[in-house]
Amino acid sequence: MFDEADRLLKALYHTLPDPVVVAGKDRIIIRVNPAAERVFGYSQEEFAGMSSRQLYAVGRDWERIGQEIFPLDSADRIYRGQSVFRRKDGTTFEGALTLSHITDEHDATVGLLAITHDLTDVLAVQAERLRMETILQEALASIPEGFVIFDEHDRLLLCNAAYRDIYPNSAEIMVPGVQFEAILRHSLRTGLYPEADRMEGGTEAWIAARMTQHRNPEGSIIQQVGTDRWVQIAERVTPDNLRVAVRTDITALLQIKSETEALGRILEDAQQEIYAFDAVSLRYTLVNRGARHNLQYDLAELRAMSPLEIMPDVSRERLAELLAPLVDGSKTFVEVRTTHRRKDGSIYACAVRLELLDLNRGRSYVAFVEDITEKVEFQSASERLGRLVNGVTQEIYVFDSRTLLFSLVNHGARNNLQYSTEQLRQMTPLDIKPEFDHARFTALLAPLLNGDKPFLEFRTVHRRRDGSTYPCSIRIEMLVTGSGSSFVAFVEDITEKLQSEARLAIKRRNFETLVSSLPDAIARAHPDTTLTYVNEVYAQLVGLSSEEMIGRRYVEFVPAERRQLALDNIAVLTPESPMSDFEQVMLDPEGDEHVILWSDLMIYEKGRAVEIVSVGRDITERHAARSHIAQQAQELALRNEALEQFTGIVSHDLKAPLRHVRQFADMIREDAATGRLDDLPMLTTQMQASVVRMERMIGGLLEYSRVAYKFIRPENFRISEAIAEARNNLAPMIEETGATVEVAAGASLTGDFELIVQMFQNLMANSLKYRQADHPPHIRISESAGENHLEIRIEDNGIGIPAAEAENIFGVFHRLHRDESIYAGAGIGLALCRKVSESHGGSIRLDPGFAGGSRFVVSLPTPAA
Amino acid sequence: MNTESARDNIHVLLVDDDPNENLILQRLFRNLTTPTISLEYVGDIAKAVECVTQSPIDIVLLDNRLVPNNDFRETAPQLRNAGFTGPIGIISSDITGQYFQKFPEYGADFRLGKDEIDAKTIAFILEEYTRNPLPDDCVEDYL
Repeated sequence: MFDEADRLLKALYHTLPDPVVVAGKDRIIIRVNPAAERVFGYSQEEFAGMSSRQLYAVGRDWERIGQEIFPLDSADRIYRGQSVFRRKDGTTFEGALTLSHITDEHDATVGLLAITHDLTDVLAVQAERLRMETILQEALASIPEGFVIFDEHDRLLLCNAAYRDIYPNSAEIMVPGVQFEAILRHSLRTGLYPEADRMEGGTEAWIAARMTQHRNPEGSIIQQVGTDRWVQIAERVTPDNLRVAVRTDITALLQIKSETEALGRILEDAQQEIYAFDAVSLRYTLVNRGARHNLQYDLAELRAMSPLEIMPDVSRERLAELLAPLVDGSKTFVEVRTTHRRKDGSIYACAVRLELLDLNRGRSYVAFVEDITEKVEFQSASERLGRLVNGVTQEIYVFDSRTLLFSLVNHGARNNLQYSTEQLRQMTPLDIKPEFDHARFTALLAPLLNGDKPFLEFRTVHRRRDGSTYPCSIRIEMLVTGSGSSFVAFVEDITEKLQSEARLAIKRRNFETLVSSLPDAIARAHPDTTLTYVNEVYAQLVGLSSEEMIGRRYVEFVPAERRQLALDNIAVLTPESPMSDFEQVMLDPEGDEHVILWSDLMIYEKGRAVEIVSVGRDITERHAARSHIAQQAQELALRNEALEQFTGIVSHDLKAPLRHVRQFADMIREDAATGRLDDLPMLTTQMQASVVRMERMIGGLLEYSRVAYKFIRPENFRISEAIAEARNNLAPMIEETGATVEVAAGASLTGDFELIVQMFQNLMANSLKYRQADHPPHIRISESAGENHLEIRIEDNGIGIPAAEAENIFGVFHRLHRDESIYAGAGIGLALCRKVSESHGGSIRLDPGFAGGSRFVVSLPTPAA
Repeated sequence: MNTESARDNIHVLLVDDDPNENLILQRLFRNLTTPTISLEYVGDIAKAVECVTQSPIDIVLLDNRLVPNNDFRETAPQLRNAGFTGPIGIISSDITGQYFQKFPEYGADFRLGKDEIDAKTIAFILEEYTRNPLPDDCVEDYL
């Protein structure tokens, strides 16, 4: 049982940095891995014999889990859940628990295996993310502008209520995932874009143009929505290929702008003198440049006056008479000739055309197409704008483009800065922006003034009245009106945002520190394997930087032939079985091969795969050791088989002649007993032959053992010397057979001279023995040098050896020709040759393709240069 | 295989590359009175295949190591492939090798050490493997 538990424990120990606890059926702990010691704070000795209950912060958890996993023979053998655990020092942590059965070879449960994954960081990150999302949602809801984000496939990611309010007809379809073009077309169908009908080419051309702007936004555009609404759209493509857009309802601003401009142009630029005065107080409300110039009063003076003061010939009663047709509606205008008196007392005659203007605030009279209504409207609109601006929580500032003096600061800004409206009217942005001086600030604003940019966005700090500062994000746009130009600044206090970012950065650094201290390669990726995080170990293994790897799919770093396997490994992951292992061979930048054991863990949220976390451990050495052991085992098996074969052959071949002698002796005895002597000569001859044969075999075996187990005494000599020695030893046989020996080899060799001579002697003896009957043997010995070995070929013109026997002939006592009357021998010679070549680190083989005889090829290593 | 009526004359094929074995076996069979045994002798497996396909052989005694083959695992199947269905006995000077345990897998019926071969053993084996031959309509499922 414990062996099995050990095996599992070791496997998990090498793949998981999480605590692994092995317990018996009684839930008493048997062993733990080092991670468990580290996380829980107990030593291995303390763990041994401890109840697993001690690791749970809440005893009921332990009992509940017990109820789920017992009885142990139930079909459900894996438990997954979350619990709160207690460390030795009393601190607790929340962890994911995976509890599985350990079974024996009969599939009976013999123990339990628990893996605990500390969720502290995960839960903290989730909480932080939730909080940030809430902040984002609240922030989006609080801004008056329509805010929307489309993803890289142009699908709606999120938008705020203001965005839906701008396009009320399409609000119902504005759900995450809907295409921008679908929203556009829906709004078009419901009549939200009157300009589309006016466009040359029809609505499709309008959609095409709008889509082009959307895909390639340049600056901001003004869009008419419905009959009376105007929206400014600022779209931007983020580096992540998201489209972020802000829609500002500028209907009121446009109206003010257009009306003010219209009035301004009419009033100011008209050659005529134009003024307006209140129908009740008769005081001037508006006097244009022409009038002011002629009358020599400035506007402030005129505002305190009534027309009666510059019309000396018109009394109050006369004026009432003149205006009466306008009052009762019988006339729309009246004309009168009168005089005007300048400030210097001079008088000039003038024709006055008067009209009565009905305004919300009351009636006014306009002289010379003077429209006091528009002036009042302007003021009214300004007040409305002021209320709007004051109402939003975002800080909004308006300041003059030339003097930089604030003309409007909303309630949110005043509240944060702690200045009153009156104080702010005397201040410029430079007074609250300590990071800017005048030159730097005007340089910043220059692109707006030049029209090079529609808006500016930057971060800086604002200084409050009490001297404290706060970081803020600022967007500045230019507002051009008939009376001049101003800048509008939208300011967001980002103190909390930066604090959140800083906290997240600390967590990230902590995570990086933790991850960088691990020896394993670690990666996080989307379910499609697109990398979102790569630690230094993994990056170094691939030979790229983390930044270069992030955004690419990690299967790109798997060899092509193993890629599908890697993908299959992920495809099999399920919420029930979210983890699997995969061995991958990787080449590091130096070209060294590493065997990496990847453990892929798919993280699911509500059953949907959201992320893969992969931990890769370099098991090259372990793998090599495993291969080495397997190779050794294989070699051992081969050697055992060879040994068995050798002893089998020796015992078989040695036994045969002995047995024959015994059996022939039995027969002789039997014949002698019965008096049958006919077979005696034959039987004694056979007996003698068996004895000779056995003698030869024993002699061969002795020779073999003498050579095969001889200690090698290496010395340097030339091949030709060894061949000459062998040739000398065979001189009588060479002479007897009339053989010729041709030697074309003379390279140097390091080896045992005596053994090498023996090898050549055996090979040459074979050539002499297995010769053709009708012509003398010819032996040719040649050589060729390889990169680190010497190849020697010994060939003859003898009877040859069948190719099928190419390997068998090197066996001990293996003889191709049993008929010893023709070819006598013990079948040892070639076995010895192989032994000699192998003991020198070389080899010998028969060249099966050689025709006209036999050719043996001996390969011997040459010393490194 | 011969029929029941032919048991009195049994045809034995000895396959061995050592002629001495033939000599010895001839002497052993000569001492047996019944049944009458005809000993055919060949020195290699090719001739043995030829013999079992052309002559009425009742039993084959096959030497384990027939040059150039390694052992019976290469030779016995050749006889079976040639259609020989009678008993095959592997004879060897040494039958202690582990691979001898697997002789049924290679179509052999028994194994016998050459030093165990004497008149009594041969008589017993011939009696055991040549009596009550299976009927011709016997199918393998009965085995």
